[in-house]
Amino acid sequence: MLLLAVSSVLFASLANCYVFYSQVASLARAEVRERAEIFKNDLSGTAAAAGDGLRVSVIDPDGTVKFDNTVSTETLPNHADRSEIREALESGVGESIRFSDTLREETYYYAVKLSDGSVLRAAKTTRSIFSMFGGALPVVICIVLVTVAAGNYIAGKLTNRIVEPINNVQVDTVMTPPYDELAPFVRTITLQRKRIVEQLEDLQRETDAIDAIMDNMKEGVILVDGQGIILSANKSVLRIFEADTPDAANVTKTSKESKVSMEGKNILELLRDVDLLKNMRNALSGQSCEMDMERSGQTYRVYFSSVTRSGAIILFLNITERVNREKMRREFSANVSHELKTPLTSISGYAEMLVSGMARDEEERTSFADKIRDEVARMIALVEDIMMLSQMDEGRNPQVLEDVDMADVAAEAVEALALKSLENGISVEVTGKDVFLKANRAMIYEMFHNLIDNAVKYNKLGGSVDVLVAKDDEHIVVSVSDTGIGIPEEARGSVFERFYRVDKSRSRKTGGTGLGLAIVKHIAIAFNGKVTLTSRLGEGTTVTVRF
Amino acid sequence: MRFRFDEQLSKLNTCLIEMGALIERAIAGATKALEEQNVEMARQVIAEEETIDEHERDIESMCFKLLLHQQPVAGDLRQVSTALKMITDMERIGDHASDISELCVYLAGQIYIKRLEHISSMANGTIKMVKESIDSFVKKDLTLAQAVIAYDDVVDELYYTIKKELIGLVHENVDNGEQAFDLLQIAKYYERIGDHAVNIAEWVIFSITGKHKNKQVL
Repeated sequence: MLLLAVSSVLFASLANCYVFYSQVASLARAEVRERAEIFKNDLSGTAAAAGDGLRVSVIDPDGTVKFDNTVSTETLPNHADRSEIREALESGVGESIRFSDTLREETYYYAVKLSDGSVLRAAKTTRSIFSMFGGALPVVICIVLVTVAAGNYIAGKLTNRIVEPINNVQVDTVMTPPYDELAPFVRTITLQRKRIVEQLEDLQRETDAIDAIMDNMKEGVILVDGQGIILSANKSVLRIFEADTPDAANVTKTSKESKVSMEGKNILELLRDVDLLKNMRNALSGQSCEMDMERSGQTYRVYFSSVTRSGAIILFLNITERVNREKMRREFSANVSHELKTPLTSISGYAEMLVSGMARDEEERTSFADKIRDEVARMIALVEDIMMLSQMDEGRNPQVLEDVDMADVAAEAVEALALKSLENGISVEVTGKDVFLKANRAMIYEMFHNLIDNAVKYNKLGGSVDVLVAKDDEHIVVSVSDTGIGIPEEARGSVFERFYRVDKSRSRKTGGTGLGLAIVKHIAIAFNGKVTLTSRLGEGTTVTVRF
Repeated sequence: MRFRFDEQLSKLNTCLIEMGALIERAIAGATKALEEQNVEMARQVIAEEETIDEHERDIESMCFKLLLHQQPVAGDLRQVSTALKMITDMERIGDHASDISELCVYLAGQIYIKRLEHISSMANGTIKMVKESIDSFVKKDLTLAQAVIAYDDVVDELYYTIKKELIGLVHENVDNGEQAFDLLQIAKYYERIGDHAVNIAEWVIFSITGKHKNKQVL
């Protein structure tokens, strides 16, 4: 707008100048022509005319200046080449306009052919259009400046007044249009704003959900890009790979920071493993694969799968438990077959001898038959134990629960083992009464039977067994102590394992199955109990179960 | 340009770690082959040496290209020159692992003249040294690098113990001589691996501090 103002001022002054100039110029020229026509017949007034700024000269047809009223004729050059002279010589009248060297002035020449053949020329110098405009220029500039300043100020004020209400519109709250014309826009903006806020919230919720899932899942997840740079990794990954660093305890606290520090790193810095790298490259080339990996005593199955746009997801599953369980199961079946085979071998041996008539007399036959019966009994006991264990393994705990009088069951178990303890001269005593546990009576009986059986079996001749049933503030405590041989320290951790025997040769003799304490442990677990064992070699063992 | 340089440096870093992983696996494999007299494992380690050499060549040319095209200075120059020095030691470790494996193949059919307790602990010591020297490189961990250098004395001590034991065995029975030599050689290889791990640790220290063996190099 300012530009428009400035250019209009300039254009107006230019036009003004031109109009003014052309009028002045045409007037001046008319005067020159008139005076020349007068001087044509009479040169006498020329001297006076010089005072009006009119120059009159007479030029010969050959160009020499014959007369001039302002300048002496000697100094003037030949004028034959001047256009007005040439024109006048040819057609009788000639005129031309020439500018001075600086363009500041212009001279109008008017030439008339005289009757004697020479030419009379009148000339008048006036200010040129440029000079005129040049003179007006300072004023024009002043006007322009004033226009600019004023225009600027007014335009600013005006614009402010229009824009201010728009600026003051509160975008955060419900918008009211400042002008009615803007109402549709405002409506659209409000609507879009609402939609954006909703979408952002949705997005945030989704991200939170994904984060929550990622951080709380047990499996480790790493997302890598095409170069193996970690894009994202969850808390479990940290737990897996920082397990062997000293500050493992702080992992959960600092995991947010570590998570940040892990992102952007190459996976190799976290996990230097050639196979992992190979598999990751496979996955990056679009081929899903998996591998097992061991780290600080834990076994992980690692799944690699490619994701679109060159990247891969690596999933770490802790399969230690599964691997251990499989190993245990394998060992268990190996043990079971071995344990079953031993009595079978002797049964088969004795039976063989009986069949082949190697027994010389009735007494020997009876003794063989006795041994066969003993071994069969052992096998039955073993099979019963195994069945019990596998039932408990499958979690098929008996549904029938009753208030079991612990002391009563203990006494019953002692009764059942009375003969055995009597043989070894061991006194068994049950202390405590009125202790009730909500449990399955048969299983509790089994537990007492196993514990007391062990205490009697691994006792010294003439030793004693104390069965204590008590109740403290929170727990029901059952403990069975003996004055027996004790358990060596290195074996204490293993006695609850299936088929574990401290002294292999001895237990054959005493006829144990190697499953007794394993069963006790399982029964305790079934009723939320915990088994602890203290023992001194040569002095005795105490097994305590707290329910 | 700078971005590209950073990218190349990080690629160099990754390649070094990968080579580290390879040599770690090689000596672990060689040790397993030795302890379990596992010929298959030994052959695997020997075959792997090729890959390690390949890595060395790749990293070497990567370093030269970086030096030539980017003309790094200060820390960047240290990083590149450290890489150049480290791969030499890494490659040697790979060679020694393969040397041990070759002896394992040879010894596989024999009954060891002694229990491998000291050689085993030496092997585990050097595995630890190599692992930690590379860990120190990955984590730019000065203290860990210094720990590696200090641990070399333990491995050296074990070497002398083994040497004495073997001399005793040869004194007892001259027939033990042949295997004693082989076992001593294996122990020596482990000792050398330890030395190379120390070298790596020293270069890691150099790349962090600019000092190599306590002398300002650059």
